[in-house]
Amino acid sequence: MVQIYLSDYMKTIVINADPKRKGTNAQLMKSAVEGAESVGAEVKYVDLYKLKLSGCRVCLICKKEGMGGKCHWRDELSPLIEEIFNSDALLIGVPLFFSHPSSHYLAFLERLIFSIVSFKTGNTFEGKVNVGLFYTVEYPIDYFEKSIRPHLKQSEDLLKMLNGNVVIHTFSNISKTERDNSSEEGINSLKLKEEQLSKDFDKIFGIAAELSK
Amino acid sequence: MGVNVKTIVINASPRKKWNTAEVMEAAQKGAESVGAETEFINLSDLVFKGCRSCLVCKQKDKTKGKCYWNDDLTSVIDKIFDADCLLIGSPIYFGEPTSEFRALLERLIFCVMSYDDGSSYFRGKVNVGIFYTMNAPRQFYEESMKDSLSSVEFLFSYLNGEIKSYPVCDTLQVGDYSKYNMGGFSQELKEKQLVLQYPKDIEEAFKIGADLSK
Repeated sequence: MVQIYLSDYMKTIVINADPKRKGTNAQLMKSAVEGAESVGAEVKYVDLYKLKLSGCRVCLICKKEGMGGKCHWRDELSPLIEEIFNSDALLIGVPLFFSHPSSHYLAFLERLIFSIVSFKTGNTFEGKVNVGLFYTVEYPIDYFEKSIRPHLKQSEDLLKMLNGNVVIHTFSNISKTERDNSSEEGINSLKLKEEQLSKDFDKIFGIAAELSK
Repeated sequence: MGVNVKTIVINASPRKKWNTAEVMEAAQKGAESVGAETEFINLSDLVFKGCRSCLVCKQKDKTKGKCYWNDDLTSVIDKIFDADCLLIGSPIYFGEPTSEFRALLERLIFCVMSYDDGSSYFRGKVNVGIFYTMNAPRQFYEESMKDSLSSVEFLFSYLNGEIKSYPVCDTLQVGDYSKYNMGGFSQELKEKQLVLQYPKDIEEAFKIGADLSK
């Protein structure tokens, strides 16, 4: 009898939650894909903004007896939520708009987490998914960490409900304006940022590999 | 002939017949009580996403203060810029207004924000009334949420008008708690609040709607 092992591999889902499909955020997440693959994980890459989705619609089906742990609202996000619950690692890159993660990421987060929240016991999720959350920001990283990060703690803590390790890291974004700036000062500053970015690729590669083991 | 105050009323809850919708209907009636022309919009009827970073609104040759991304939200943004008052209500999920509220805020404000000096391109004046409905009790809102939510008021200040925020707390989430795994809540206590506090909130929403539409 031939035995088929459906999947012995670790599964890692990598999400670009930036509307730009080729920006710094996407480039970093491509490096995260390589990091996860380097330790043998099966990887799926998703551009979140390609999906037609909305935030939680409060249908509350997930709060009915026996229906928890799954988002029952049918759109392009529901299969992804199911895949995440069946994966071993989730790596998300998200830009900050007005000091907040992008609205599409927030919609994703509402749906993902509300379906496992129990109003009685807190958490119905029994699996374990490691999470890497990567912010890409345009302000200086020090300023972000001191003045903005503390306000994001509540949304960061929601990711602990997936029961795995949660690693959060902030990277500096290079904007189109910075790339187009042809002044001497602009060129020098871009050079420094690009040097930093090549280090950042290594950093995210390492985190992705670690979380996908 | 166009001399009436115009008030746009937006329900940023996915539910069209629950607390947030009721609060916004009261705010709309308040606006109408002082003669405003109103329009009620359910965000959940529209297909749209947040800011796509197309950056057309920042191009030197483009008229400023306009969102150039075309979807169901574009005309709503135009209507808000053309109005005198915006009344918007959102439930709070995980300590934050809904992602749809946030998507609207990204689009509405990014296109009036100058990336040269951070000033507002918007030359008009729109008063803004913001209503949050939440399961959390009032004390929790005051101690743990009010401060973070003040950044929303800051963003709406780009519309140059008066801004008021009002929290509707400890709301009844469903009609029959026995049908759901929501054992952490007491229907009895929720219904008590519904009788004692909620009518005052509805009255307050009416007043704010009226005040900001004068």
